[in-house]
Amino acid sequence: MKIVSTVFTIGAFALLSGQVMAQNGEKPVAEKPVAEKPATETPKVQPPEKCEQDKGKAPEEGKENCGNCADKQAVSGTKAGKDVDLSKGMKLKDFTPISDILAAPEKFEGKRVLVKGPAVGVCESRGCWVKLRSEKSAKQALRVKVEDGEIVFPMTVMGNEVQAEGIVEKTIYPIEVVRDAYKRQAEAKGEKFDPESVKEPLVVWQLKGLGAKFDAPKEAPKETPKDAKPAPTGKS
Amino acid sequence: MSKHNWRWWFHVIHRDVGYLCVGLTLIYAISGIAVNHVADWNPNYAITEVHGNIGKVAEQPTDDTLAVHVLQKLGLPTDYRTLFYPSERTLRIVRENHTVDVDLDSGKVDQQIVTPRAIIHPANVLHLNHKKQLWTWVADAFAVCLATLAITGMFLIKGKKGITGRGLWLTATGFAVPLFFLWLYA
Repeated sequence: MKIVSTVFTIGAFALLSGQVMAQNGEKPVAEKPVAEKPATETPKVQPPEKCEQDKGKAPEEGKENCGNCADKQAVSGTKAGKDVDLSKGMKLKDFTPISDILAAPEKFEGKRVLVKGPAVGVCESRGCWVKLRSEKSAKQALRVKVEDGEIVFPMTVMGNEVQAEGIVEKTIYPIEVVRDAYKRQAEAKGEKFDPESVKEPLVVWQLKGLGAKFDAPKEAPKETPKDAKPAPTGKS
Repeated sequence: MSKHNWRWWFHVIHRDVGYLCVGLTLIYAISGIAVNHVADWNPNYAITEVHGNIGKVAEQPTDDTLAVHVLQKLGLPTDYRTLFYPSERTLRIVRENHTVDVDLDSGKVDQQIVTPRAIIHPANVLHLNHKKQLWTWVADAFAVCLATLAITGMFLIKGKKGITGRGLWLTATGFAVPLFFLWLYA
């Protein structure tokens, strides 16, 4: 009986911790976001993806985190459509090219669209966003942000085609937030940064994901790719 | 009429439901600890990073040939899933569970190798209900089982170690702990 009681206790804690985790996902700890570029008239700026929410340190080049800390301080510039219902998932049949959305995002603001493209970035911490490459250019990608836990993009989805449906939305990062982010980036690189160089808020367009489909990546544990070799440290 | 009283039935239910819950409880416990510390580590994947430098990358006629050129310089097979430029002069080559970012000017290379964790990753998939569908019902049933264990557990024994004595205090403490933290964080 003692064993059973112990098991119950552990189970209760596990359930509790799961709920805490879910809540943390929905209401992330306030942190400084990291932005990449100031707002421009043409809002083609990629969303911030280097926030280091989890460790509270300056972002490292190439790191892609969940972006929640940046999202926390951002202001939604788009009113969510009335038909937003996470349980309904995907219902559109016609795809909208990602390049069309990125070319003129204002035209799509607040509209529900279905897009597809290979995943070229994914949230490492929670799988709460994925970046889909444009079909036209390797330099364009649209970020799809989903509610934490509603849809989870595994890291193994990288490179696989993802279909995602959602609402095109504009997010605005205040100047102070952008300046702070640049400052931290500069500090991380040991560079100087002039806060006055940021004169406008950062505007980011992304898809508020309502449903997604992707090729089922292998979830089974795998050996580290044996062909992954360290790059030579010297110049060739 | 049954010759057994309600306490006997509570024992039976508590015992058998407890056995039923052992597996899932351990899975949830392992995953629970893992995801509680998501700020300190990635509970789902082991991520290996390899850094190096291949020198300035020679211009190539297409992105495809550029990627092949980089992979060859790294001594890797030349297959990949897709290409992307996270910044103007950084090429990302996406391979299966393996990403290569190369700065085309400096030749700096950052490789990231992703390996799902053997036990914890599947445990997290179940605990956090990534897959939804039928598992949602299983998880609900497990929650009901835990509630059943909690309720029946309170009334297993009589006397000063039962719910009217020591059990009462311990149960009250169990309620007080989360309430205290809710008050603390309010």
